Amino acid sequence: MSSILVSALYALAALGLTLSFKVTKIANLAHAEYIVIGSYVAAYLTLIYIDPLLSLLVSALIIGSIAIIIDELFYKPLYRRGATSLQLFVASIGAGLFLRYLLSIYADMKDLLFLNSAYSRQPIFYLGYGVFTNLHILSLSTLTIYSFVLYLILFRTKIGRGIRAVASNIELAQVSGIPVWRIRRLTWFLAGAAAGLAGGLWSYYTSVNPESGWRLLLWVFASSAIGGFTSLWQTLLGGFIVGFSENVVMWGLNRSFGIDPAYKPLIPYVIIVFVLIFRRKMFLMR
Amino acid sequence: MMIDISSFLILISSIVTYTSIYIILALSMNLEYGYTGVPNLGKVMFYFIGGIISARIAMMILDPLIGIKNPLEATAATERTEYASTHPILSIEIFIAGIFLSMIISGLFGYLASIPALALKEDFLALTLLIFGEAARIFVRTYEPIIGGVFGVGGIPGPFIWISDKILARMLYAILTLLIAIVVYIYIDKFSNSPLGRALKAVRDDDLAASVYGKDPSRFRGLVLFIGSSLAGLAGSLYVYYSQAIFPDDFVPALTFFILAMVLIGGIANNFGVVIGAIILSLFERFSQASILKIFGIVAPFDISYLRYMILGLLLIIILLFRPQGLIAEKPVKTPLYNIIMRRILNRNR
Amino acid sequence: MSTVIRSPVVIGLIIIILILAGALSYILSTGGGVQYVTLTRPVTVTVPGAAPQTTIPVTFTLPITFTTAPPTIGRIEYVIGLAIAVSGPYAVDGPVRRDAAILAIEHINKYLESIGSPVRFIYVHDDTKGTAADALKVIENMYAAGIRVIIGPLSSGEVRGVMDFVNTNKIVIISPSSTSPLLAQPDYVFRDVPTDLFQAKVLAKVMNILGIKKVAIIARGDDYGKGLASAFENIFTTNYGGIVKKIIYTYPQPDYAAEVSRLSSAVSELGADQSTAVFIIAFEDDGLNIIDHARLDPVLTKVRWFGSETLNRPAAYTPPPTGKASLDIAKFLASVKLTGVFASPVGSPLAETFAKEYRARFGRDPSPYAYFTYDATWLAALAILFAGKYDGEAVAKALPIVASHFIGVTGYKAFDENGDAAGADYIIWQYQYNGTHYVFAQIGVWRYPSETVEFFK
Repeated sequence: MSSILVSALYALAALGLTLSFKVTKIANLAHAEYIVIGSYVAAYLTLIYIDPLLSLLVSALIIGSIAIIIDELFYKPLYRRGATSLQLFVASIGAGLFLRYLLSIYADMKDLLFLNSAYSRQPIFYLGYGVFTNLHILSLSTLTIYSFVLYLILFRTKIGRGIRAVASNIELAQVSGIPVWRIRRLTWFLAGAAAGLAGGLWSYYTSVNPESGWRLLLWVFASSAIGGFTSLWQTLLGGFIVGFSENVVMWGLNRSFGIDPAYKPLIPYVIIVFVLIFRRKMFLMR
Repeated sequence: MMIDISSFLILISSIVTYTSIYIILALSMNLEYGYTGVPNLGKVMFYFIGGIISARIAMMILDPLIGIKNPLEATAATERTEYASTHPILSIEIFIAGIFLSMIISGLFGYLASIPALALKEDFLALTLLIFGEAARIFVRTYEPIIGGVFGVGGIPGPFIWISDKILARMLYAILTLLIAIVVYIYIDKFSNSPLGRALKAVRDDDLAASVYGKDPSRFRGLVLFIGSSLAGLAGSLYVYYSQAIFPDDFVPALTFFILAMVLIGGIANNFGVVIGAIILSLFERFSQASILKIFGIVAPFDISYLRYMILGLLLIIILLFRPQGLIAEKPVKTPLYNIIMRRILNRNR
Repeated sequence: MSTVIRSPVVIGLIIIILILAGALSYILSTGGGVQYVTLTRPVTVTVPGAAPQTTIPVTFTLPITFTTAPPTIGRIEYVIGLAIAVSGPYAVDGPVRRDAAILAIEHINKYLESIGSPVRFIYVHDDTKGTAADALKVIENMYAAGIRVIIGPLSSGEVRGVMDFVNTNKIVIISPSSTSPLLAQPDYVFRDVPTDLFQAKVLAKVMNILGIKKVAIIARGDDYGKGLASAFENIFTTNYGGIVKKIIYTYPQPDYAAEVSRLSSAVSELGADQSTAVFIIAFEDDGLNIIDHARLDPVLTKVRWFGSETLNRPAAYTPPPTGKASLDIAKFLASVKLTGVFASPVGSPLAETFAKEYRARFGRDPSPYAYFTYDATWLAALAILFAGKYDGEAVAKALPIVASHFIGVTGYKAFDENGDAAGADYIIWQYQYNGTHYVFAQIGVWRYPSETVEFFK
């Protein structure tokens, strides 16, 4: 049951990651930090008695803006100088380190190295071994709303068409007069917003510390990988596959092969490797 | 307060040893990424494998000789240390065997890692190798029979353990690692300033063109990953024999990023530059530790290790932005033929 | 030129520099709570073997809190190193323990000053990051800085990593929290906390008295969790014929819902009644996550819960105003009567004073291991004073003597022949609602020499 909730969060964050990759071709490792900063913002806001829904929205707005800033400062200049995708990947590692430890310094000074939001999870009904809570409702609806909004933007607006154009061929889009840089900013905003929402919901689910983003990123990356880093629908599905594999696969392996559940963290690694091997076409050199 | 020359000597030996190990790692990374364009972000895994093999060799040889029942206990570590201290030849033998086996086995693993390199785009290759490394570390951390899982193993004897003057032992080891690092440098320099080095650069820059010219990229990548990982295994072996213990949590991706920073800062495909990069970052790491700063009377009001990582992150980005070729730029490959031609040109101009 | 200025990169860099400058000035202005004093001391440099000694005047800037005028030359200073991890696995509790050591030094200096003694202690703290390699680097650095008495490292893994070095170079280290029984041997490594064997023994006996026959353990997969779980399993099954199921989870992970559902099925298999209990061995972040999942599980709410001493952390598990936990968690813990033990003398006025002063000085509660860190620092300082000289070998000999006559905030601190705590009285605590607040109440005691359990009314 918790798998449903966790899957929704993975899917949400992964949507942001896939979106940013599709359009900018950058594998953004700093997405982890976007998530955790989102957690801190939302948690902090709930602790000063702001309504959880509002906190989520504020968090989304803030992280969206941060994503744009990081791009303008670091990724875009590199990109304009013709940096390779690998160099951009390394730059995202650098940006992630920078953000994570900036957050750590702040958290250390304010004794917030370990933060709990004021959101209270309440059971709604029980099903077998699992429980369905109000957070389930909130997460699933956030995921649905975000996906719907994303769908509307991408497929029903002019700028959405622009996004898709840039994603498929940026030179052609530029030549066609599409405002590429504005689209880039919008993309990062949407990606950051997704991370902010996912991070905020995560802080409602459990406690967070500056390292939480990095630990979550693995599962999120696995979800995006299942979607081939290009298909948003498949990424959404990927989130659920990854979320359920946590519990179900581990349970199955334990029953049939007696594999110690302590190996659970290896699951996302295995998934990513499998996907990278079998979806090779997506990632070929040319 | 007394400042003891002997404790300074220990500190300097430690710095020299670590820097030499970093130099070897950075040179191997430069060979793989700088010359051949293979971003081996799983480097720490091969470093780890080298350490694991060395530790296992020591345990497999010593434990039956002493009759150790539970290899994880602290008393086992002390027994190994004591036994090795009275058997100098054995310690040296363990060291040599450990180094050779580590190099071979790490190299083999590196070669295996080259297989996915065929199919993947560079940033995904980097990601895959990064993931392999972490997965391997978590596996070894959970599965105890290898090196005691999360507990780790101690009492791995170094080659100079039988020397009663411990300071001398450390200094000798520092000199030994420095010599090994120099040998590695000379080897890599010869290797890269040869037609082979030129071929590697060709593979890096445009492997389609390279294969048109008859250079098979996959063979070169396999070769380079074998050598690079083998060197990483050597470094891991040297590390384990220095700290005389092995723990999985020391081998995290942050180390790979650290080495990558050395290569980027020093200069891609420039071995001398990479050595400089290694020295700079190694010193930076050491001197940004509070305990060292205390020697100079500097104390900070917050946790300085956070600042260190922040600066590392910024450094990566700034280097990429402003000087992607590194401090010392890439030079043309100085094959023997090149040297002859250059000499002739210079002579003619005289 | 104007294109350079307008370039977003330059603007961005200027913004970053401004932010960093602002942050730095903020940090420096509010940092520490310490004052800085500059002293010029003549320093003697010894060259081993050579006869003449050179004197060099060296200027140091030291962090010391003063309540009176700065000291005059002629003071004797001893340095105590704090090799305490404050990042990685110890990001949350490390600073709490480090601050306890700092408090100890401040207290000791205050007393020394009040009696007019020329002796003062200064500390140097460095982060070992919880890994053996970094712990070794830190100890090496401290050794080079002339430090011979060190509090830390915290974990058994780090201690093992530095053991060789400190034994060879005669550096005294006192670890306040490495509890692995695998480390017991006579050497320069001292531990003022009893090993896991003790805690396991006490807890097993308490559970047995309370009628528990079946236990499902959920423990974190590091040397602490695994060690304690194994020790408990051994004792409980051998001495009391109980049944134990063990679930070890890899740490760190973002979420432990899967492990909690396994715990739930394990408890169902054992039978969810009053003779079954859950034993949780966790730190705060994983503990809170597990408990928050467990409270929504119908099976797990039906049995009694027991916890390792690390669960006794009011700041993490009680609701405001004493802590940061949610009311739901508080209600759950009270309903399952979370019980555990903690090495400390019962109702010790020292412990209460310490907690009060810690809270006043640092604005948060001390964690269980902070108490041990405080005592370890006191022991170190007293041993140096007793030895009369700052020499590793002398201090190592002085330490057992001092400890055998010392009662600290965690009780009687005598060492056994391995330099580990010989034993301690244990308080039995239970999470309760006393009508106004949720507290960790003391419900009984286990007495060390007689090994008897006594419950309060």
